Amino acid sequence: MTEAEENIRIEVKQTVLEFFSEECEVELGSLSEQTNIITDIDGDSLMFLELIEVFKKKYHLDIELKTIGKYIVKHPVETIGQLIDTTMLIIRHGNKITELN
Amino acid sequence: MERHKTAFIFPAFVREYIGSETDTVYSLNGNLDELLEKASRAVDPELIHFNIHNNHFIDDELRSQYIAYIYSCCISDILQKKGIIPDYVAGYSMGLYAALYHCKSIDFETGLKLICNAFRIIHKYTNGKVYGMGVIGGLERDDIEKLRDKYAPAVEVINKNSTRTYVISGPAGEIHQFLEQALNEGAMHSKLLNVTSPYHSSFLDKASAAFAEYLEHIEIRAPENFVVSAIDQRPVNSIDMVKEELIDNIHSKIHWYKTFCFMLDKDVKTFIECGAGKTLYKISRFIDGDFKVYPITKLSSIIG
Repeated sequence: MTEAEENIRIEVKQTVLEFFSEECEVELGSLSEQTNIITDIDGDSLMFLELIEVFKKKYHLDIELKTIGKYIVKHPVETIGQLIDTTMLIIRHGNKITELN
Repeated sequence: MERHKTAFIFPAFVREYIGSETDTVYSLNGNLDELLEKASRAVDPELIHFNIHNNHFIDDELRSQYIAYIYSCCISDILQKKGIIPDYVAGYSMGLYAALYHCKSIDFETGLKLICNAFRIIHKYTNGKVYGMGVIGGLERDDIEKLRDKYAPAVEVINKNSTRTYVISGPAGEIHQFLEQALNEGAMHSKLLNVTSPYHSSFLDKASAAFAEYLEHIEIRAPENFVVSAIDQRPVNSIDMVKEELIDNIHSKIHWYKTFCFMLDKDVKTFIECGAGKTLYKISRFIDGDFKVYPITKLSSIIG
């Protein structure tokens, strides 16, 4: 990962943690990359959809939601860490994400 | 100084409780016990035993509708007592009953009886067949309709919640198939609702006609507030229009996104979700605009 990508990952992580803290009404400090979105903080897939919209705007991503959906069916996201990693793949690969193994 | 407009929005069924609803309404001097007692006397003695943690009726379609209505009426009473008057009122699907209660178009017991009879009539006319409803998020309308045509032609898209989520209604088998295929086609959210009736679909055309006959014997008054139709966004402002809305609400498609946008266009900045859970708050996350939705968990922050 380049320094620029590392900085983006830090930004993405901050946005994700603040989002779930607000939406799920949990202390920011209690969240980590190991937090399970569904079982630990009662999150849902609509929240991921909303976050994707946020990142699409923030990073000017030209990617169809259904492309991301198809990727996620094969690579389910359960934890905050997995969500951050998937977001980084979306930022890096855009519509080509489905070509990844 | 410019006054921002306020809307009260009433959710339909409770899909899941947050868990703090009862504590919240008691902390705001809500009359939940009194309403549960009245409801027990009016329609179902079991309702008095409601407990949000261990006897919440979430899997009982009729009782969960009663409970959703009771919470909504309780919050409506709290807001009335605090003197907060909405510029607009709208009910999402079966949230219409509580919206009409708030506007003094129907009384508390009448709302319960409307829920009860609508449910019974619907079950009579669905004739033992199993239906269902579901929510799909992340696909465009065109994609959803193509999927429907291919895998579930009897299913109807009965509501656009927001730019990103749609609600479907129809035979249970096709609903399951539809939701599964939606995920394969790239939907990021696909969820079965805990209902067995095809609300807002043409499967209920006959039921709505029977409900119209029942309504002839019901005392209804003109609403005291501006009620926005979730079906066509017209003002529901007379006895006849209330009846029409109640009948159409059984079998007509609704358009929550348009309803919400209608209120945004009228400069509503504050929406108070009058009910348990936070379904309407969640839906609003996919609607652009300069506004804030207060679910029950945030109620105390605006009314103290």
